[in-house]
Amino acid sequence: MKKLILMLMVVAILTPAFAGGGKETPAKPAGPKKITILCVTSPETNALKVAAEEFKKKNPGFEITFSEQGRMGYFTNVTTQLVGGTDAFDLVQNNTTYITELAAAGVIDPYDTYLFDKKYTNLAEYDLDDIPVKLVYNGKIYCIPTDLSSQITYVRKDLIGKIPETWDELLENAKKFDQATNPSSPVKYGIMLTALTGGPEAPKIFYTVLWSMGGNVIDDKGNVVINSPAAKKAGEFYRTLAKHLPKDVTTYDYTKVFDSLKAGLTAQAAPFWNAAWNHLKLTDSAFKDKYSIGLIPGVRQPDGSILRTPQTHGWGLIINTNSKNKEAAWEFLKFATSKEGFRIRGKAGSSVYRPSILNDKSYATEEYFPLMAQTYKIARMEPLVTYYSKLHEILNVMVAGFLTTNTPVEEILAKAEKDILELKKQYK
Amino acid sequence: MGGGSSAIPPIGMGTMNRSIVTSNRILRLALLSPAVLVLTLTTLVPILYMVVSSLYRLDPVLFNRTWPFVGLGNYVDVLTKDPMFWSSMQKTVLFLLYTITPQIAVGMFLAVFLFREFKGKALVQTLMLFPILTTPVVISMIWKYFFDFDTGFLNVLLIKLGLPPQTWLSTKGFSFITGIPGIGPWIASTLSLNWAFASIVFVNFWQWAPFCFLVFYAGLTALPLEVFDACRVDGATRWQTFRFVTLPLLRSVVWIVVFLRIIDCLKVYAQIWVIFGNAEPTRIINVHLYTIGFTMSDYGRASALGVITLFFIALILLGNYLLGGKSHESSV
Repeated sequence: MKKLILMLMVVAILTPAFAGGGKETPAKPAGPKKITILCVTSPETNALKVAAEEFKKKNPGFEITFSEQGRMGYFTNVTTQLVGGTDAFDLVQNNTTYITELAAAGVIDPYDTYLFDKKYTNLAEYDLDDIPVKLVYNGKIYCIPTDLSSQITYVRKDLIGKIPETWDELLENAKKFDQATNPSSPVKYGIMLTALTGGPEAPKIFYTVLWSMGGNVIDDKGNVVINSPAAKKAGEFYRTLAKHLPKDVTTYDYTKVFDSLKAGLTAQAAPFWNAAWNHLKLTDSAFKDKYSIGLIPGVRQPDGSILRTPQTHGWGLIINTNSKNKEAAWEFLKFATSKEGFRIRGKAGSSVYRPSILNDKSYATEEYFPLMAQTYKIARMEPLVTYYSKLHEILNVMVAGFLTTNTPVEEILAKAEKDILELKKQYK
Repeated sequence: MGGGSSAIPPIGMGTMNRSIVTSNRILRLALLSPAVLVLTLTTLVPILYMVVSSLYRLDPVLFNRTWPFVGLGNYVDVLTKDPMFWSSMQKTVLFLLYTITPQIAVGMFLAVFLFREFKGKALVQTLMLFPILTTPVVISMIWKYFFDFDTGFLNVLLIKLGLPPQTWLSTKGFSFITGIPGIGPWIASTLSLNWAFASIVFVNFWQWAPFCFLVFYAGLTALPLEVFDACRVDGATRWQTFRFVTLPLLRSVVWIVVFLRIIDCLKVYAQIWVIFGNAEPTRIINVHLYTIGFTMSDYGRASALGVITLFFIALILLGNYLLGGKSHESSV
């Protein structure tokens, strides 16, 4: 009896195991498509998250994880992780200025594989012509920015009637509202800009001034032209402006200038990032409605026109070469940079730059949109070189030299020129 | 009783002892080997890798390709073409000097001053531990806000006291130094006598002076009380007791503290980076190394700089060890 029970038990256990017989096991339903995005804490990321929610509603099989990090050391982390060959994230948000370096290193993939394959992208619907900025290296697109960042002028409209059009006008306002020179000024500072040493911002802001004065760092032919009369003019302008900037201006990054706007400490912030406009509106600052925005100042030309040259760079998602989910990553990337993605992100505080949207009056209702359309039309990018990080460091030291030392401007420029020439030699 | 133990061991005992010694040695080696292996893998291998990397041109563009061998090229670049190297070294030495000297002095003063019974002593000692227990990044963030010109606690306090606010985070030289006719600005710039440098020195001082206090205090508790009783009987003043008795007896402790503080100050990075990034006026060698290695992504040159820095640190520590050793011997 015991033997019979035992046999029955064995049969009972084994029966289900062989029940399938020769039949194929039914295909396991595909699991969710998981994408991980390394990103920086920013208004742009918040807008991307809103787009991700919409994307998931439309594509229920997707899971998107945002691995968020503060600004401090972000670019260092991105470069180190990508160069180290991580597969911990599929997409990474990066400043477009670093992309050439990463593309040359072979650690990010071009979009071309997916963008120009009908299987993945309907190009007519995507409307590539509506995207004025594409980051190209060796003939391949490595990034279509999700956001463009540029600079505009912020003024306290209750104090300054007309937005300054030239650097001289900006300087006049700076003097007038600096409590150090005018104790009756209702604000502490007449002007503020970002000049944090070691950060990504100081050289970018300086480019805006330098270009408008006719100078450059590296010209179109690749020559180093930083030691020029125009650059000297720009350096001297910085030095004059420094007298009216906070004494510890080299600790001022985006956040600190933004906080000063929020606290109503300054009459002007220029050149300052456009992202702050939407960002400011989302705060409970008592001063958030007291600002006007306009184009950045420039230099009046003999024909009466004003040469304004705002620097621009993008924030975009780039594809990690070692990603295991590139196709899924592309699906989200395509959505985020599509017209629909731009519209969704734009409403969530992102910097829209597709002309079709900026010029759509039913969408772009605020003063901000036409201003940005105008800004992007005249904006310029920094040289996209494979030694960007090192060039940036040289320029950082140069800008700090203008603002915090008494070293003659010519001497600072000569040193920067020598250092850049030395650097270029290594990358021949 | 003891005589028995010195008796000739029975035949075979020597062999047995030898085998016990041998097996003990094997056991000791076996027990030590995991630690040695971990140390080798985590310390020696990276150092060797750094030395090898320093001989190649190595940046992101080349990272996944062939690295061109440049021999000592990176070392030559650092020593002759990097204008920030020597100024960073100079700032590192000044940072050591400016932070360690007051830390030792104040730590010693507090230890001697608090080496007595009073109400709330335990509370004071516990409070002194807080800065040491807090991470440098948190401390730097707090002080960065304290130092802020417009909204910082220090300036709010100064204004409440009717004093003018100070630009704690500016790289401006101290006006009483820069005001010296002719050489003032040069002295301020050469000796880093500016607000920014003073701020990082102060933050480090604030965090680590209590550590010096604690070690000195522990040292004081270990001193023989009879010596101090004798001083009292002989009518020595407090200063004489400190100068001729306490300090010589604590000399070896002082050297250990100096040694530990030098090592720690040479490792400082986060504290400065959080407040000033890689601003030139506060760029000590670690910040410079990080800038070259990770901001500029020049891993080859950063490795060479790492090796050079390691060499300098070894020299400083050796000097301190020799001086401290001699001093300790002479005090014995």
